[in-house]
Amino acid sequence: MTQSDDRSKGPADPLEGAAANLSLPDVIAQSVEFHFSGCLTVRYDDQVGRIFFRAGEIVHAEQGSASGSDAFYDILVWPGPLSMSLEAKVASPRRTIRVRATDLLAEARQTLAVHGPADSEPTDVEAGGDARSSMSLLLKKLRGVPGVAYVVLMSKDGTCVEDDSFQAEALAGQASYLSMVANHLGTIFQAGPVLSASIHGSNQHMLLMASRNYYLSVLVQATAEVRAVEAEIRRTLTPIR
Amino acid sequence: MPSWSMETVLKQLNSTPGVMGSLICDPEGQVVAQAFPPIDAVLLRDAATALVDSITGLEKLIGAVGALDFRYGEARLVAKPIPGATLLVLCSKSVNLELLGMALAVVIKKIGSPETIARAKADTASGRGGQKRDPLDEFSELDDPDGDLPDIDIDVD
Repeated sequence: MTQSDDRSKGPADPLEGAAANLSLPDVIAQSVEFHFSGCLTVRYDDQVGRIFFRAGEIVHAEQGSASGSDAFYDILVWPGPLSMSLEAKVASPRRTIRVRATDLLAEARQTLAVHGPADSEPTDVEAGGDARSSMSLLLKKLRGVPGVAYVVLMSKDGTCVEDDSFQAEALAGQASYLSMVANHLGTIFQAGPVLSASIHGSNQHMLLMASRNYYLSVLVQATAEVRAVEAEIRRTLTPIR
Repeated sequence: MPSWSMETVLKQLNSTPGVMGSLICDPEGQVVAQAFPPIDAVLLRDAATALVDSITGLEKLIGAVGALDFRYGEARLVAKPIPGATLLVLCSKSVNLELLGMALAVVIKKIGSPETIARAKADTASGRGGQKRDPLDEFSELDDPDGDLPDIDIDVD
């Protein structure tokens, strides 16, 4: 981490001298603790993200075309090295985040525990509504698994979680139908509910994994080895079990 | 014309460790042959219909389906579309998939042609069943004297 912008070190900056060698979550936490008002600019490669504070509350975040909590979490998982700068008394152009900063930070810590170092504390994908942002990040992580063409997390009634794209709807529809058939076959053969399924197709492959409350549906590129992709996905999911 | 019955081939498949039952159905979901422990024929037909319908539905998304593998708590269902039919195998969860793949390759070599399926279907409809043959011939057939067993293409898990 580097502090690249000297403007952040004026007397009005409550973090003066404190941000050096701090991680991004720490800088955010300090900003909240010191009731900072202004803008935290984060740079990663050619990407720029901005997080706006108002009296210690996080009111807005933006990066690329994303804004709000999505942008906040996007910025949070940039792997680094990051360049950060604080600019006090800069007002946000709009308010897109209404979650209390302490709650957002708790969520952020939890998210980083999932996506951070291997010895991070686990979280629980089944945690319900409070874990939705974690799920969003989890999906991003899973979409980065080599060979994965698309991933959808869906409730058992077929509703997509954190994704309302057409592609997500299409995949969720197929996955929902597949789960119905698999469970129907499981009933007929007294095998119980399906735990997972893999389908090999000529254009793409499909994986379905069941948890207590969700199905994870994955489209796998035809050129990828399904078994290897499934193993990597399970490895990615393991810390959150 | 093959002189073995499809039921015989399926029973041979069922002798594979971990395999508990198997069936062959046509693209309409009609059970052409089956070798399951006693089970309601209506349920089997229901299963076959659900299976072929799901394959049809999935093809819109992922193209021609090569194999399906459903995993349950204590069991596994493996389905393999073959020319003119679909083969469904109920296994224990601990089945050795490589071994199953070899056994399926033998089955597919024997019955994997639309003509064979159509003949068996006609036999089933007429109530004749498959033509029987000397069991010793069946053993000799397993030797695959031509050495041209098809590549294992179950490719599941």
